[in-house]
Amino acid sequence: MPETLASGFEVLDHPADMGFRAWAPTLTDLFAVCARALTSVLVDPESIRAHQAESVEVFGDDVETLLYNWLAEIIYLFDGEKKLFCEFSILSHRISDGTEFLQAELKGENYHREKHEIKTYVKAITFHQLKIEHTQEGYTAQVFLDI
Amino acid sequence: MMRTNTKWDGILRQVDDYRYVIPRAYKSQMRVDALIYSSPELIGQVCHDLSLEQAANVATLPGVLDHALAMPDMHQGYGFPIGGVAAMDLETGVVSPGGVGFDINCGVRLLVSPLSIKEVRPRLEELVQQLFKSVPAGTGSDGRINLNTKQLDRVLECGAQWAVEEGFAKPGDLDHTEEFGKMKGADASAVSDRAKKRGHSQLGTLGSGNHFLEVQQVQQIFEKEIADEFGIFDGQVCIMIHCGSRGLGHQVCTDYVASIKPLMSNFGVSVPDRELVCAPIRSPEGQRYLGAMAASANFAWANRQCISHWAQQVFHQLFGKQATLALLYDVAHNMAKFEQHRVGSEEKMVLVHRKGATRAFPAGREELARIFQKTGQPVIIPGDMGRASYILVGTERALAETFGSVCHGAGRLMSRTQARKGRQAQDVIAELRSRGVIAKATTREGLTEEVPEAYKSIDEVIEAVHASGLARRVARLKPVGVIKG
Repeated sequence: MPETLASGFEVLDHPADMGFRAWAPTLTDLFAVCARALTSVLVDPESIRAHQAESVEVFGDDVETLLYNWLAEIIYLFDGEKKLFCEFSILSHRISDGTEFLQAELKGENYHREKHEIKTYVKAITFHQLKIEHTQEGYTAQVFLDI
Repeated sequence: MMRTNTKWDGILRQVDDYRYVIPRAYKSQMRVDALIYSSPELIGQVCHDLSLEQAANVATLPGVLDHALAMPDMHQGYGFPIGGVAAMDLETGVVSPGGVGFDINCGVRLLVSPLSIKEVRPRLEELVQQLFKSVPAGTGSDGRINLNTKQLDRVLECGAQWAVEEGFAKPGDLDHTEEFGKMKGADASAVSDRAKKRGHSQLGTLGSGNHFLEVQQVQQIFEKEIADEFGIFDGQVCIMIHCGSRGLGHQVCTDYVASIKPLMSNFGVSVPDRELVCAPIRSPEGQRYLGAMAASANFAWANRQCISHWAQQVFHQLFGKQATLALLYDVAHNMAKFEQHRVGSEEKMVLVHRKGATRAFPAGREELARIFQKTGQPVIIPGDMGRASYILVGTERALAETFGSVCHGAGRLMSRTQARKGRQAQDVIAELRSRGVIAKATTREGLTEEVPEAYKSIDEVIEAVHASGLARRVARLKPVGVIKG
C-alpha cells in the first residue's frame, strides 16, 4: 500500500530506545502501516522482495494487545525464522467472546546478510505508552521498541 | 509528536547528599516510599525523563518491601526505571518480567590477564582485529555454535556448567560467576519453542546496541589490598564482556508479558503502567516465568563464557601460552533473585528484582565462593566506550539499604537519535583513537549511537555509589580497544 497523506509513520525518540507513530484511515490499514514502520526500523524495506508468502494469525484480549502480538510476531519471524517482509495484507479483523483476532498474509523473503543490512536490531515490542486512538481522520498508533 | 520526556514536578525530598525520597503520599497507590540514590550533579538529569515516575510506580506493586529503589545511573526504562530495584515478599508479592527486562541476565564480566599495557600495546591493533574476527557481533552474524533442541535444553538447565563440560570454561570459573553460572530452578520446558528458535544459533554472540567486548587497562587502584586479592595491578590489561541472553531471553520476556497480562484481573492486581505486568510469585504463572527466567539466565552465562573462551584463544595466539586470562567475576544486571535479607526486624527470603542494577554483596555472604568470603563480591560496572569502567566491592551498607544492590553502568543521557545526529562512524572512530581507543563495529550505529557523550559520567555515578557507601571503589579501568555490533 503506497504511503499517502492518509497513512504513514514517523520514528519517535526515546531516552534509551526508539519507537514510532503511525496513522491510517482504517484500523486494519493501521496494522499494516505499523508492520511497515517496524520493518523500516530493522532494515531498508526497499531491499526486501516479495518472493514468498506467509500466513499469520494473532489474537489479544484488547486491540492494543493485538497490535503488540502482531508486531511481536514480525520480530519473531525475523529473529527466529530469518524472514523479512515488505507487504502486509490484513485479511480479517474480528472480535469473538471479547478476544480480538487478526489474520494476515505477509509477502517477503528469507533474510540474507549480504542483501539486507540490518539498521537496528529490535529485541522486543513494549507496552510502554502503547496506544491506538481513533481520530477524525482515522486511526493512530504509538509503539516503543526495546532495541 | 507524543512526548516521552516530562520534567518531574512531583515530590522529591532530599535526605542527604546522595539520597532522595519520593514519599508514598505522592501517589495514592504507592505502598512504600521510593528511595533514589543520586547526587547534586546527577539529579538534574534524572528529573528530565520519566524515571522518577517509574520509581513511584514500582512502589505500587503488591508485596513490595521497604522502599522501591533507584540507583545513581537511573534513567527512563519500560515499567521499572533502568537502575531500579524492588524486593518482594514471597507470599504477598509479585514477580514482574518488566522488572527483569527483555534482556534477561544482561550482565558483564571482567577477565584479567598477566600482561601489562606496555607488553600488549605493540600488538594492540592486531589484538582488537583478531578479537573482532573471533567474536560474532551484530545482527545477522552467524554464531559459531549451532545447537539442536537437546543441546539447547542442556544449556538452559546448566548454564556455565555446560560450558565447562564442553570445554568453553574451566571448573574454577564457576566460583567467579554469580549463582556459580547455573541458576537453580531453571525450567527449559517453560521456554517456548519460539524463544529456542531465536536462541539456538545465537549462543556465543555479542549482539548489538550497547553490548561490547573491550580491551581495557587498569588505570588507577583505590584499594590496593582488595586489588591484590582480586589479582589486579596497575597497567594490567583486562577484557570486559557485556552482553545477555540474546533473542532467547527477549522472546521469553515477550511471551510472559503477553501471557500474564490477561490474567491480572484474576489475580486482583492492577498496575499504573502495563509494562509492570506481574503475577503473584506463588502463582503457577509466576513460577513458570521464574523457571523460564532462570533458564534464560543460564543461556546468558553460557554465552559470556563462550565469548571468553574465544578471547582466550586470541590471547594465546598473539602472546603465547602464558597469556592466560582469569575470570575475576561475572555479574548479572537484569534479574530477579531469591535472597535472604533483613526486613525490619526479621531475616526472610525475598525476591529481589534488579533491572539495570547489580548485586553487590559484602564479605561473609553464603552466596559467594570461599575466595570472596573475606573481600566481598567484586562488582563490575562498565562506563561508556571512551572513558572508564570500574571494579568495586560490595558493602554491608548496601545490604542494609538496597538489598545489596548498586548501579549497573553510566546510564544514557541522550536518545539514540540524538546521539546519531550529525555524527559519522568514521568521525567517532577518529575521536576514539585520539583518546587512545581502537574501535571496531559491525554497524555504523554501533558507534554513533554509543558515543561517550550519550552517557552520564561514569565517574559521577561511581562517586555517588562510593560516597553513599553502597560499594567501595577498588580500581578504575580505561578502554583501549572496543568491539561492538
